[in-house]
Amino acid sequence: MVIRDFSVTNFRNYKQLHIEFSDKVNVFFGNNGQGKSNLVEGIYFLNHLNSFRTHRIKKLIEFGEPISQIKATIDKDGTSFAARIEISGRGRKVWLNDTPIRKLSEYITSFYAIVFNPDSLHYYRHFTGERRGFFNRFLSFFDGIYLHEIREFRAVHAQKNRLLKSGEKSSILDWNILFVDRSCGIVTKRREMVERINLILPELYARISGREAKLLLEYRPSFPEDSDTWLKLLEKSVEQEFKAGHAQHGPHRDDFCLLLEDGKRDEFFSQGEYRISLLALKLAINVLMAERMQFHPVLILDDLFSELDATVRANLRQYLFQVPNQIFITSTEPGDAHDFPDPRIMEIRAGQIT
Amino acid sequence: MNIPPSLERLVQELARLPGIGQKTAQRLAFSILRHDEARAQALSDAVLQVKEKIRFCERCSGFAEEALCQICQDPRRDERVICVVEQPSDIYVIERSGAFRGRYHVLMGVISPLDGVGPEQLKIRELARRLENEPAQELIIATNPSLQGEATALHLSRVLEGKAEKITRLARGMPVGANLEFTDDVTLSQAFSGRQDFVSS
Ligand SMILES: [Zn+2]
Repeated sequence: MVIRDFSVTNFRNYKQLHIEFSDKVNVFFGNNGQGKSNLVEGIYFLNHLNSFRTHRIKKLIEFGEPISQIKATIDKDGTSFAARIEISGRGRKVWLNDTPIRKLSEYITSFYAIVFNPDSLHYYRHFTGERRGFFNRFLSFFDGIYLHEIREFRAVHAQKNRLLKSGEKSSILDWNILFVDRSCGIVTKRREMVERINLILPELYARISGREAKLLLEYRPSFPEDSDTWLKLLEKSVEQEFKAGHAQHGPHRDDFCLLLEDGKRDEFFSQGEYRISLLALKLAINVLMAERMQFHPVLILDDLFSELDATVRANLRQYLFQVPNQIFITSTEPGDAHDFPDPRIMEIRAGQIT
Repeated sequence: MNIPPSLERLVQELARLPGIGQKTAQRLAFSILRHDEARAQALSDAVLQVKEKIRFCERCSGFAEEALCQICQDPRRDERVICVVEQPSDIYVIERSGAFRGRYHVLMGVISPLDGVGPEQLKIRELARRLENEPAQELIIATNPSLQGEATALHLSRVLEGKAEKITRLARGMPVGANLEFTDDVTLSQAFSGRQDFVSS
């Protein structure tokens, strides 16, 4: 996919902005605090209808304004879409080719952006919910019915939690049977996804990091994957779950962990190691989308290059030269991208392109 | 718009009915206004009488004007097959398809913790008692294919196990997320003929 032109109104510190993008490399440079991250946040929002920096989308509206707007022309599979998004105190509204989109899930399963950004790295590293959310988002895009499965599971989960809070025991077995049933597809798909990623990740990590050690992604389900065993476990923990007042095991407690071949787990990674590992993971997802879906999401590298050492920076650049994705880079240095073929370089100063 | 108060009152009452918006309510009200006195009287009598006369059947909880509903009274209906539905209105959806010649049992809802409804609030005890008095060859569970309908079906298959020779679930052939009320007759009669033994996993 390619974003052709892009405009925002009353978005963060942008009163009004219109840009035409290159379908290859776009570089926004400028001093900190001028609005580079805000701009790529808008590009991310155009794809995911949420932000990688905040869950309170009201914060995206320029202070004192009622509505913020994002408009873009997006090319995908030879078709051009005019997308328009309105953000207000009441939420998000989306139009594609002037038709209002009632189910936002239809929209977010059409477009995708992969982002590297210091805030999103922080959230990913420190919150399991953020990691599950990241893979849920990917699988919803990758697999046509995963989103439906997640919603069904959430509906059962909500019913079960209410039952556990109420202390009513007569139908807990029925809800546990449904709970197990609605988890099976999710677990299988998460496991398969991790296996597919691990066919790509070690080599990609070696290539970017320049190191010998192999990186792997590990899936850590919070319950036995065999449904009979799991149902038995749930039956055994009924008392405990009623005491806790919420479901203690299930896909909502799963986690994902990065680890190096020598057994070093990501909780012991240095910040630098973590950054490169997560970068490799996200690029692996990009490869998976290209291989399995012939789809190329937009890549957003926000404030990334300055954080990498010279070797990794060179490796990454070389890697990015040969991917077909549209790329957005923000930097304090315009030089970070000068050796890309034909980059579109824009300077950002106080919410304006100069 | 300046509508006279009595007309406005009729519009507002009609608009409270399901599926009736303001526009339709107005159209209906204007139409009623064009009727002669007798027709208007008939309509208002019908509304009052339905509330006065309709009660729930003592055996199946379907709509009835006497102690037992017409279906429970009909000797031609196969009393050895009982179809369990969520609401009295579901009976008429199944009747319209003509696919079923047995009798019914209405649960008066579905298990839904979020709505504060547990098995105790449903007519499940009544069903168990009924099965003891009138042994059934087959119990067909025709709850909606929603999560709550599924939980209710699971529950019934568990607590009524052994109380009927066979317990089947009506769901196959019905679109996922569909409601009995909005299912067309063909699909519904396919669902009846394609029903399967209940296997509680
Ligand atoms: Zn009856």
